[in-house]
Amino acid sequence: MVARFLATEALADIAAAWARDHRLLAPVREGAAVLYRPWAKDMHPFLGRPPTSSAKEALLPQTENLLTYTYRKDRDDLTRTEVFLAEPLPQEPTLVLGSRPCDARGRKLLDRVFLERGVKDPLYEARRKATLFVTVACERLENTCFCHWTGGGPMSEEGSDVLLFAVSGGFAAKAITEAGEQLLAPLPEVGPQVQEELAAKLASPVEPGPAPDLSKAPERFLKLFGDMDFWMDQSARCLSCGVCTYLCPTCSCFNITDENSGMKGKRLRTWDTCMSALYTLEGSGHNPRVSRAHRLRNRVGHKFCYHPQEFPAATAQPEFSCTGCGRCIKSCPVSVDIRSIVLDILEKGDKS
Amino acid sequence: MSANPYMPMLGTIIETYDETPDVKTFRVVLKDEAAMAAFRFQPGQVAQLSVFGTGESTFVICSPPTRMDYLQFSVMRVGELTHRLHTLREGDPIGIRGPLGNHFPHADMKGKDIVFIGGGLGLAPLRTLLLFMLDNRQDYGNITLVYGGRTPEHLCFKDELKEWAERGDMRVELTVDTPDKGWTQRTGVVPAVLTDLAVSPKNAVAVTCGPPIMIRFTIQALEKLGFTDEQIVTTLERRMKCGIGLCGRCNIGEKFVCVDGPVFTQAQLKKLPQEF
Amino acid sequence: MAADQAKDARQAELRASVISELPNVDFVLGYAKGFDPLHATPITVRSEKDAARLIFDATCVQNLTTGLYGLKGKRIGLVVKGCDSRSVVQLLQEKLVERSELVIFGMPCDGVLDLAKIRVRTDITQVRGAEVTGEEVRLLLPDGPKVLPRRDVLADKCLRCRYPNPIVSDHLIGQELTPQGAEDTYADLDGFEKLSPQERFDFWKRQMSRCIRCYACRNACPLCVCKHVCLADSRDPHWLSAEATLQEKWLFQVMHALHLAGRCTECGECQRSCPMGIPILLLKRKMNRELKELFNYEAGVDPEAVPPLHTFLMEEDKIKDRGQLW
Repeated sequence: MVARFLATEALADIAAAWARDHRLLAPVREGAAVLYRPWAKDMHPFLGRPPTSSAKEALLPQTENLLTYTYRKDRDDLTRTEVFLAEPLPQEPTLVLGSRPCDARGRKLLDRVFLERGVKDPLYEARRKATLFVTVACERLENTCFCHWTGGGPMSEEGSDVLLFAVSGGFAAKAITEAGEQLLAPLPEVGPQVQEELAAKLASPVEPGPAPDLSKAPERFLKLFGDMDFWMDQSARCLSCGVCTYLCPTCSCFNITDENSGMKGKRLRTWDTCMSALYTLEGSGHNPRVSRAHRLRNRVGHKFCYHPQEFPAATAQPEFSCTGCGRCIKSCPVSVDIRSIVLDILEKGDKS
Repeated sequence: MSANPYMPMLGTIIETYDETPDVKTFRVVLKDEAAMAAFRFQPGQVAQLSVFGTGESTFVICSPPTRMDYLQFSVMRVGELTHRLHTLREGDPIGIRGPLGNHFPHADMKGKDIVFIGGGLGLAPLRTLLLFMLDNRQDYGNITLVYGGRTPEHLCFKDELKEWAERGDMRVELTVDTPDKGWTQRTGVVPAVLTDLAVSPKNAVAVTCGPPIMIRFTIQALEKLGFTDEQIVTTLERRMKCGIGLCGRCNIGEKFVCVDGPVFTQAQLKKLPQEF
Repeated sequence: MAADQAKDARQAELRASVISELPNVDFVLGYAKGFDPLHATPITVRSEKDAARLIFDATCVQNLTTGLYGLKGKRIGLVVKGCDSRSVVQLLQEKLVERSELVIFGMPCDGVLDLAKIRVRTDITQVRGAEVTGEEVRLLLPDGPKVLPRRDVLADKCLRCRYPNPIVSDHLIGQELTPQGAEDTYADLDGFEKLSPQERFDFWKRQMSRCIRCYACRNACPLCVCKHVCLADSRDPHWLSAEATLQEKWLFQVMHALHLAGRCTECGECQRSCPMGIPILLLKRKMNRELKELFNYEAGVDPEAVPPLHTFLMEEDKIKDRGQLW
């Protein structure tokens, strides 16, 4: 299949066209942050850097309605009420422009939880089916990138519908799925020069360098599970905030709360973070993860041990619930580095 | 039932009564009679109760599947939702999502002696299994209940405790930490009673539920009596939200208490990361 | 090179000093090299081996007094800059920490980097090396060096710093510095307040719409000491909805600023920690200017002073008695 050409100056036009039949999310620069915003006229999509936040919000918004309820008084006995429930509205089709391969790969890992674990989540499923990813292939690795440690790559097609490669004058757009092909239909095919440039890029992709062998991470994590000194040292700087989990393309834990307003209200699903003490705090006051050490252990354990245990990979390399996007490292106020935690697990879990 | 697993069924509270100063029992039926008639569950399974506007919380269905006139829940007043629940009365609407989670392996218990060991409201999950077994009495060997509470007042299901003691086909041993004037039964902690009774592990299963500290010492006592890990069954509690294995918080290692539990054998628990 | 030598000598002095105190403390909180040349990361030092990792330079941005309140009862060693020492003083003033439980390693500091400022000037994610001199920050990038004027990328608080030397310390490491900053004129706030109310409201609406409610701002604040009963999390009373609306995000920031009025030392950790770069320190500066004007008070500079909102006078100089209204 021949790639299509997306000229830099045509980007806003095609985005506007896509926005006619999709809720289009595109990255824009705001100060030092780059974040996804719903499409608006005169918006300038910024594709030069991976966004600060992940594209997860397209599939799992920070808050959404699970249901609405209304209480009505019984006309015959005003001390009595009846309650009526309503289901949320169906999802509108969404298109994410400017996701990165690590974001796109996050889709597969979210699918594991919401579609493959057991009970299918109908809200996620509806949104998932109606969401397309137009991804920008990475030209270079940032200091915090480690997608190649966890099975991804700077030019990985996995999870994307279209992959954009930066070329002179714009992008060479490669359709990965049929839906992606339809998106690209209005664009011209690339000329011979760009074709050559693209071929060269694909022939010598970004070389991310060597990756450590993480195949023993799950078992070594379990060996270190009870070593609280290890976890206290790893978590000593952690602030227990939600930066790492909220920016993560695969963290999917959520809270459910009712928000009441007079005789009616909503039941909301909201992003939650296992780094917060409240996450596991029970009504009785008991908390099974009482310290930062317990909570960090759970986050790392979930990604590098429990997920691979739950979803065994067919290959020697386990599937981790981490795409190596590095957002948790880059935005952590105290520079907690999950890479070094995993390397420490590999090293110390071998000895213990 | 809705295809949306977050959508509760609507129910009505038909009866409430106080068990102890802070435990209240609710008897609930589904509004939709056909749904109530079709409702199936196994002893030990839980359900999410909703008070719309406050939220949802997980409770064991403590009536047995052999008695389907209503679903019974016994609730201790500890947090936001349970405080609100305690204000509800007969006729009030309530949401029910369930049944959720696994159940007691009662098929494997057939023909065996059963030792129930409970503390406080920990008797609630045991009650569903005990009543189920009493309703199928011929399938099981000797049944013993060892049950303790802080004071006589804090014992749940008091009428039934009496009834069970008088049945003649099971043994009931009650104990309290602090007796009151009229108390004629045992004083002391539950694990000590077990040791005192020298319960035999031969062809037996022990089912225990109660405060974490009681469970810990009960398991130690059972082990001393010769019970193997496979012969000890318990239920775990965790903060839960979705009840369907998605929201994340009730995990112990790769397992989720809301779908892989709440019932675990001691053998299963030993295979998990020790985080409980 | 002379600067390098001075830096090395100071690090050596810090390490030696920390090692000398190890027997007297549970652990020492200090800085070590982070994942790249522009990032330092806090560490707990328990051994000589850990102490060998200690550094101190312009990348040591974090305020290590954050969470100190939660460590009450332990004896903690703490590496502080001048600005951080004000948090210690404020915590002492509020009796939230015990002076006798702290061993303070005071670091005279001539400024730390604001990575957000570097991020808008160059591709910070590719930095292979960094060197900070008196005038410049030299970054080594894959396509060559990049030199930035140091003043352009120092944290704002450093540009107006009047407390380069720690106000409290047990071990002063290196030479004391001469304060360079003049009296704070709140020029940034003046500029902002020249905008119309509608413009200001629009500004905050746009800024706050980025908020993801991660509460890094709260958790990074050394004076946010409410722990698990924060109004942001409370269900009873239910101040904030879980819904991620502008209203909820904004309400939290307003309450945070009000709770810190007369307490905030402007360490800037809230703003620095925000992954979305929301300029929330401005709200706290507004409060501080009001406190300065009303009570001539500055937080965290005098261990003996009583914070003005912790007390009251029957007759306040600058607060008119409402009784005179009639």
